Amino acid sequence: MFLLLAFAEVLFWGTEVQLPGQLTHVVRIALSTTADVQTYGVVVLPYSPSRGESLLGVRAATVLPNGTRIPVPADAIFDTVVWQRGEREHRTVSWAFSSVEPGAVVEYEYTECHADGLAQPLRIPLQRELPVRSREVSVPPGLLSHYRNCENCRTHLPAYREEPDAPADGRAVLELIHPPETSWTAIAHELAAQFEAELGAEPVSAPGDLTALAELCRTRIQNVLYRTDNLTFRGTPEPNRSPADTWRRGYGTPHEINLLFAALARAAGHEVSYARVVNRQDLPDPSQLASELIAVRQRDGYAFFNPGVPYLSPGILDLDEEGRTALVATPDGPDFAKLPRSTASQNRTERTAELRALPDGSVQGTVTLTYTGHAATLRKRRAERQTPDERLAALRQEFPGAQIEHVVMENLALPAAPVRISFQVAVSHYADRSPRRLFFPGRFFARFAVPRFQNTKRTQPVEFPFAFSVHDTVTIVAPSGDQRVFQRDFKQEQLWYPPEEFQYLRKEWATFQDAGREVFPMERLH
Amino acid sequence: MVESSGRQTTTSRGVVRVLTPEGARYARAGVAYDSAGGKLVEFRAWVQPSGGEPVEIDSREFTDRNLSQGELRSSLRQRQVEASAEPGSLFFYQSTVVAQTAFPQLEFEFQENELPVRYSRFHLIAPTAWDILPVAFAASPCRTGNTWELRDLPASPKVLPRLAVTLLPRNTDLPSFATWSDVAQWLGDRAESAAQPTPLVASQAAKVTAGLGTDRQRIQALGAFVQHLRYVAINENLGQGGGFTPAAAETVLSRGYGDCKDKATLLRALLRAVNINSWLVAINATDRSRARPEWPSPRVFNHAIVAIETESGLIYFDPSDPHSTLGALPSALQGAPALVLRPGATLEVTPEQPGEVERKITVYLEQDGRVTGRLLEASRGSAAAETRALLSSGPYDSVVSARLDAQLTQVTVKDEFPQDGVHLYAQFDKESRLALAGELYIWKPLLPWVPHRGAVSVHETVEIELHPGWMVEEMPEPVRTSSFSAAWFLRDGKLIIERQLRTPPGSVISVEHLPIVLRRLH
Repeated sequence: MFLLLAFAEVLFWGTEVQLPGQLTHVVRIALSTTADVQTYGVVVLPYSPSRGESLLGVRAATVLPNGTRIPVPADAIFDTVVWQRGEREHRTVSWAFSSVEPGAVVEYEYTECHADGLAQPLRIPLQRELPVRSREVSVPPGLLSHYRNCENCRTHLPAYREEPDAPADGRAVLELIHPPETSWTAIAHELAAQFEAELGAEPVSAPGDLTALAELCRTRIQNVLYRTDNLTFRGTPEPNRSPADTWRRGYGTPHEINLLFAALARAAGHEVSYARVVNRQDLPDPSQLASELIAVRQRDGYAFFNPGVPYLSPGILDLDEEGRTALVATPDGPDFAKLPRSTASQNRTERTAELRALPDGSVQGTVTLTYTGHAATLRKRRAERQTPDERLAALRQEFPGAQIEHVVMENLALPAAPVRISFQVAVSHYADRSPRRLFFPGRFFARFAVPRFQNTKRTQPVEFPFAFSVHDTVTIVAPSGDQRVFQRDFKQEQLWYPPEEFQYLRKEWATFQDAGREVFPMERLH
Repeated sequence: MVESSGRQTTTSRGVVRVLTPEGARYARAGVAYDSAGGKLVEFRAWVQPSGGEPVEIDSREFTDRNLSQGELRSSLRQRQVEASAEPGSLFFYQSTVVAQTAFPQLEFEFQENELPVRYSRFHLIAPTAWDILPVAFAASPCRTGNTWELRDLPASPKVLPRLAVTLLPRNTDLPSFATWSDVAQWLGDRAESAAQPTPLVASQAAKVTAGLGTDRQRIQALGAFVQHLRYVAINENLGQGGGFTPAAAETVLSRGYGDCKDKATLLRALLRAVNINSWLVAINATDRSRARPEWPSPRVFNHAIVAIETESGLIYFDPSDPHSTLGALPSALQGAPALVLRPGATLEVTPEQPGEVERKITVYLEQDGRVTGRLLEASRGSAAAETRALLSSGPYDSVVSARLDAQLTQVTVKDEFPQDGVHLYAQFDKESRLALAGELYIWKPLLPWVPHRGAVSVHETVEIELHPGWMVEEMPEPVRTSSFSAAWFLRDGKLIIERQLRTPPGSVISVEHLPIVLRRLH
């Protein structure tokens, strides 16, 4: 009774694509339980008029198990301005189906209109939170279609459920695109020509090897899109017309800083090209180009640099670049290269706790956290959006139940440098107690951690954004001066686990979570 | 300004001085209005830098958003502005809202947030023939005529100082709330016609109660039927009392959905159809301290339930809560001020009904530290409702497995709904979680307490059989407090743990006592 297990199923979900800018959806959902009725008896469709979107032809009805059809009256379909600011506006169309009961089918249809035309490429979702018995997409002639995360999936699609650490684009979609009217060769030539034009003729040079030049650009030029320490540009930047401008003025956009690096590398005698991350190599279209890099020819390929992102550690590309394919726009045409990934030891979290065990079972001491690589970059990027108070509150949330004082956060806004956070900590009731003894666990950091994989079942693959390592050292000193040092290490090298390998991964993490179950016993004083 | 027609014009002005960079986030203002029955006629804001001239903030920087909180539709909106203000600058604003009010009552907070306040003033213009009844909460404002003032309010008060004003109108159709009975009369009048059992409602009542022999069975069945219906709120014409006016019972029945007052009204109509009398009850589901005897007002309520007349007296029932059974109000509604909408009503307090949990755990500790065990748990009253809510948050096995932190080999749930009681049985396996201290192993065989939101009585027995390779070196000492006891002992070669927890009804743990309570539970 009232156990909210949903067994609803989408019987049919049709989408008709009409160029240049309309998508008509028809959805029929069979409801089996009271929970289904609660969950799917209401529909809310968001849209944004300020992005040229509108919803037309909304119709909805309940079909009872005996076949009776009960339409939702037009005046019971609400169009609401949810949020409005200046020209920007978000709205919803919403309604509740009448007389819904287990066994009923709810059905609705509507047309999304996009005044600026459909996205290119257009990704039409095939999965949703419910299983779909029949999925039909009607595509006008002339568009190329491509299934992602499934093969020609039209019937019996399993429900897609959000799960932690799942790939960001793991849902089955049908990707539609206009046939490319160009080629990678033409695109590469265009990119290369533009790059050469932007580099300009005015020479600019500095001493140092490639890494030093990249770090020079990253750490000495004010990046107008970030709030890095000592590098915050507080004026209205004039556009730089050339790398020499950027060098003279000492500030630039990420693109201008990348160009400066390219100019410096070329002046140092390197063969330098412009490069872009490519989403799909099989689709030669500018829409498939993602973030930019500077490629420097090496004996066995290329070295890639992106000094326009200030928080990356030396030698590491950005998270959405690692492991992907880059188009290098050489004067001879396109060259595709696989971008390197950072290693677990480059993305390191090192945590130390020097703790004094007290007779009342509490501990007091100093904690130091050091982050490098992406572990540091993520903290720096988060800190950009936080006030000092918010940073402190976020840190306290990482150690629930602990008293944290005298916090020092270093290098949070410094390019390249490791992030270092230290603070005084006090934890009451830290020890387990028996009548004669106190037991101080060595797993100090595990005490505050939530198990990463709490569910025992998994439907999506697990994807880690980067390899990483964790090293914990906990020293506990008794009042007598006796001390114990507890250490544990963890390395996450593999980045992708299919669902069938989930149990293995979960066990690995549980083993780390449980690692170091040794405790430091102390006789109780009475 | 309140006019004799009920038209109300509210002008608000505020000035904030930003002292620190962190204080810049207080350079903001917002004004709520009912887009259906009212109008925001003016809202302007300025920033004046230290030593500079005021600069008006472009109205295109203002945000207007729907204030719906789970409602499918709500005409309540808020317009707000946030300024970028450096330390030393002033932020100031002015807004005017015009609305037709359903009843002439007003509230004013002298302090809206944790900021200290230099000067705060409420000025009221009302028809001269009307009486004005002010009540101040957490404050003693200085009154001059119809102006109330407070100065130099310290930062972060425990309770925000507030003024509530009732106007007693003359020669108008507006209601007058001098007593709680007046409020009950007004609310009851708005709801009464909607609770009439039409033939469709009567037919449904007969269908649901067919074959049931007692009134209690009929009440349970009808209550469960309404609990089944979806909770969907559509609030319009809030300024004219739309928030207090339920839809007709027949409409709710045919739609199959409604909000709290709609569902409560439908239940009343169904009960009336089988000759059981009941009353609509106004209550606050989120703040027990909001309804105060000294200020009779409908404004203090945000929820509606039903009081049903039975041989054993009034039984309160919340048909919007899908998990509670008859005689067990949700925890948040227990011990709360409530107004039964019947003649001569006064503010009453709902009964406090502690939930009950009886739990038995049998565990075997293997030689390698693995644990196999069985859990048998029976919960009643509000504790049963909480168990239902917990189990409905996901598949049974995942929820129970997560709670036990163990792999389940079997799980069974028997729910007596709409009768009281949920019975949970689970068999589980756990990997070794023993901690090592030299030659000793430390084992914590207890499950964490399931947090209960209301008063509860828990009795737990854990019976542990140890592999012959284990020997008990030490056990915790017994603990006994007024609300908690735990005892460990060996009996017939088994380790027995008995724990009892009784949180008294309406108990509120003060911040000062929280560490003591936590220590005891630990």
